[in-house]
Amino acid sequence: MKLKSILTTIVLSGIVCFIALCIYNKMYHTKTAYLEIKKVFNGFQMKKELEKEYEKTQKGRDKILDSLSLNLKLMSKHLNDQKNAKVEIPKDEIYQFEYNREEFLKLKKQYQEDNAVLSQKYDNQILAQLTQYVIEYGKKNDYDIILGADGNGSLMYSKETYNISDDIIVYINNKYKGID
Amino acid sequence: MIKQFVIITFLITTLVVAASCHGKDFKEHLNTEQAENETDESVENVNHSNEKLSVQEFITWCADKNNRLSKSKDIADIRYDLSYMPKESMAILELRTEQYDYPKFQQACNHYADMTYFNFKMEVIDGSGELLKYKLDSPAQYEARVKYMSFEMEKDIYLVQGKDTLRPGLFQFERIFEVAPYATVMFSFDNKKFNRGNEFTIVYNDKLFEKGFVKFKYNNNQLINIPNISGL
Repeated sequence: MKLKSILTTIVLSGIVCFIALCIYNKMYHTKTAYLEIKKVFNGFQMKKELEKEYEKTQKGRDKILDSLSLNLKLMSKHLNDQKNAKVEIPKDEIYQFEYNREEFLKLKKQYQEDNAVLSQKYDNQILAQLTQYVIEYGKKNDYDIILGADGNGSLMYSKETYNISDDIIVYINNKYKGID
Repeated sequence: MIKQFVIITFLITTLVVAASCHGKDFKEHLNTEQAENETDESVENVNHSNEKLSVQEFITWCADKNNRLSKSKDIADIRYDLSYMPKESMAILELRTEQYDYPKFQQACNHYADMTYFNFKMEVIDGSGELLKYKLDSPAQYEARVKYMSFEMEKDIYLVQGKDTLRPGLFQFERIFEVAPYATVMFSFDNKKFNRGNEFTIVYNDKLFEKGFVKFKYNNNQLINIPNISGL
């Protein structure tokens, strides 16, 4: 009889303690992790694809500029040769050279601005999707906080076990690829 | 004395066990979750091709996201929904005002048999009003958006299978003005130009709200293993 009473007390106490601990954990424990922003950003498939797109566009523009630059060099050489030979240079050739040079500089500046805008646009697109997928990952895995470590002191120290960068990269790439 | 000792010992043991369970290796916990996710994703499609459903059940089945014909993706404030429309769904849409009968239904199905149709919806999450008026910079931008949806958007949609890229054969923008806070387009791909049984991805390069590539992947046989319609 006494043993039964002891056992009942033990079991009940155990259950109460366990429930209390679970409630405590649920209420007061914060599930936290961090990711390395640079690593995740670089591992994101969308970033790789848009980087290629950007390089393609940039190379196309560089080719046009190279071609114009070569033409200008040839024109310049031709004008210099005429000057050295003390031949009178036709005015329309000088005007043409000046015009081409102006156009080249204008286009070069425009391409630089366009490249910057394009780069910014792609960065925004990448960040919008990356942020969305990290939020979904956090919700799905019941995180309270996911910190971003960018090496600028926002996160000074954490155990490596709290680093979820690799898992995040897998998750965001699957989401980006449209895998259910 | 013994009773108290046993109770205290048990309590301490319970606390230690609970604490160790709670404080178990974080990575291990994550890996388990990851493995679960991967398992979910790698689940083979159940073959539904022998199932028979009523027309209403069929429509509900197709719309059910668990059956993976309809897919959804949120990016910031915009939600994208892509739904595969089986030829039966297209026939149901076409005959919705008429009495169903087998020859008519079969004829309508045959009409849609050569193409794979998708319905694509874009909406502002928690938004209201016309989608194309969302965050407008100028009235001219609205016109540009209408023009984009009507004539240019189809160039930004494509199907990727392996290394092949396929543009839509048909494209239709359904303009609904202020009626609902979303915009819908329907497009289709020629069945002869890709293998419906193999996995493929539908890609939309969003230039309307500048969200970049929005992708939806369909796995092997996902378009093929669908139920039949009974009673027709």
